[in-house]
Amino acid sequence: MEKETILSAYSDYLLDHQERPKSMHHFAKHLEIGEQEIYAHFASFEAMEASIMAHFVENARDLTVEQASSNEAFTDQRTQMVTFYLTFVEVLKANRSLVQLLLPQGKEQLQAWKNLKQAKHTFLDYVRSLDIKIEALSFIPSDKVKEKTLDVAAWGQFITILAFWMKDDSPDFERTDIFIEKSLKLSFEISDSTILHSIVDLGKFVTHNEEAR
Amino acid sequence: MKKLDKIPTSKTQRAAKMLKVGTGVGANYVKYWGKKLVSDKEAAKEQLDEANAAVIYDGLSEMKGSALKVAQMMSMDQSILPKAFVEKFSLAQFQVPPLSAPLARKVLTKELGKSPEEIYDSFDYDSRFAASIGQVHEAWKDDQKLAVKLQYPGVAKSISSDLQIVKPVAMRMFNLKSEDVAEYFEEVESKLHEETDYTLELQQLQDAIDSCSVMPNLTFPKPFKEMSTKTVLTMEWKEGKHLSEYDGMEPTQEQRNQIAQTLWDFYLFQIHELRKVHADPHPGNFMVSPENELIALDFGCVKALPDDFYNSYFKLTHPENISNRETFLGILKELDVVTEGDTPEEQKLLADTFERLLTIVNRPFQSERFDFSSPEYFHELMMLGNELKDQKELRKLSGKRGSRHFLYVNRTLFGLLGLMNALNAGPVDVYHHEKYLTKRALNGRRA
Repeated sequence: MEKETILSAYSDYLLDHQERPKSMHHFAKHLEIGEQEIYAHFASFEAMEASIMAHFVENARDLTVEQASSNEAFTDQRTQMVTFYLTFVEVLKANRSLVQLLLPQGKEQLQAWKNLKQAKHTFLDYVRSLDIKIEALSFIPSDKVKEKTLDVAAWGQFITILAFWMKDDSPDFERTDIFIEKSLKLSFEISDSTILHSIVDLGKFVTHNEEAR
Repeated sequence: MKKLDKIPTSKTQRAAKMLKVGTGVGANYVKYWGKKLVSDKEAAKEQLDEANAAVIYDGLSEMKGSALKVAQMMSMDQSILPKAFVEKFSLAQFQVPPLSAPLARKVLTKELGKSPEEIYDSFDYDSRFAASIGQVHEAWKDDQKLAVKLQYPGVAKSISSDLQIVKPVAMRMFNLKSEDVAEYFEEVESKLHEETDYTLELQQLQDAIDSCSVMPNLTFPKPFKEMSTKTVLTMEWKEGKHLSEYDGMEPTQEQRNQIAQTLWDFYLFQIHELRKVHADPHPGNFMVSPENELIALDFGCVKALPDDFYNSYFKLTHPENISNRETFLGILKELDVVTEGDTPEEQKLLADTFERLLTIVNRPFQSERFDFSSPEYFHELMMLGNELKDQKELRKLSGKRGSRHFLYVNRTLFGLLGLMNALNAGPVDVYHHEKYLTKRALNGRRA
């Protein structure tokens, strides 16, 4: 059985039962396949859940790349980022109940972070592939710190937009669209040195922290 | 520091923005008092107005949407506002950051049900013009060039809360009390809501096209219903220059006269024949074609004149109704300018004031031809406006003054006078429009 088929079957199960299957054995039986077929792709339910969120990111990324290659007006980096987010929230909209299940608020928030881990890698890989050059960051001599700084900023923005969408109650989540437009404009035009230095400082800290480990 | 162009989306954020405007104005007053000690009073006041206008404008333009519309509206009334305010607010219609291509595409797709690429043969995502609540894109379909007006998402919903925030600032600017302005704000709010409905605008544009076909030298962009919705309006693209850039076309005096006459006829025809008038006469809403035709754009704001208001208002254009004090007071009462509770002294003050005002405003109608380019006429009008604004006795009068319909009718009238003046044309045939009328106009040609 294919990876995607298993993921979509698991999503349906979650939506229907509002909880995980009792065991991998139960789930395999539900799919009428052998357990080892699932283990070929996923070691656990946690791994499946993290894959779903990453899958949404991939979905939006592929659509964005496709549009950028077919229409000149959508090729520059900033436009691509806006397109990505607008598409991403459309993907989320189509799966809102599932996303709310996978990203619980309150006490279980830690679970939400775990479920976003793989999405984070997929997203940051995509952002790095865009090779975004922020003029205001050119004063940083170390490429590594520069990359980390962008990572921190980009992921922070991702989380902010996701959180905004989770709470958005406007029709068709119209406000999230506006939020995306404004916050992307802000981040690409940002040049206030105090804010920037704080972000760079954080980027440095994260770099050193990872090196120290 | 480069300005962050983050448009606030919730009411609290908007409130914070307005607060910034408020404190900015305060700071300017501090500077004003500082300057006043050392320099000449008039110059300091002028600088203060300019500084305040800049701060308020910057605050408003960041809020985009309806607050910007209010700024524009206030800028129309050149005779009430000090010059600096007007100059700064007039910029309001030009400076707004455009929507990004992806968001424009998403909004259009959501509205029209298909992507712009599917609907039009080509679509340019770089907007060509900005309007205060939308932007205009160029598109092509079946070898025809089109103008696609796209409304900013979320604008319609923010109007009421925006107005609540603008209200105290506006009241402070014009020295008004809250109970005096409720009805006026209601009028503004309902008009602004109408302006966010492009379906209504399309209908109003179509009505104008149908009813104004008798008038020569006047044209409109044809709308396309099947490519329009509540927030998207597709129209024929009209080539030409905006009225503000007309001088750049180097028109002959004869051409200027023709445009001025057409503009004048267009307005008087609407008022007297249609009793519905394009209520947003600013230079951005008119263009002149290469063939020197007047092109009227933007029918979002159309003011209908109810019969009783029309009848009372235009009775005031007859000098004999003004010179007879009893008749005059009767008309002023019909228009809510004078109220039953006014003392005889207050009634006299109001009647005297309006008599002076109307003598000037009515002057063009006292002759067959009138030269609107005359600076003396406008100077006189503005001087009187300034004088009335500062008159303590008038300010002290309680209650609201004047029918709510005055708001947009006066804006239209003063806007028209401003446009006529800026055109720098020769004398215009004041009653030329009468040949197009089927109804009897209340301020008909004097015998």
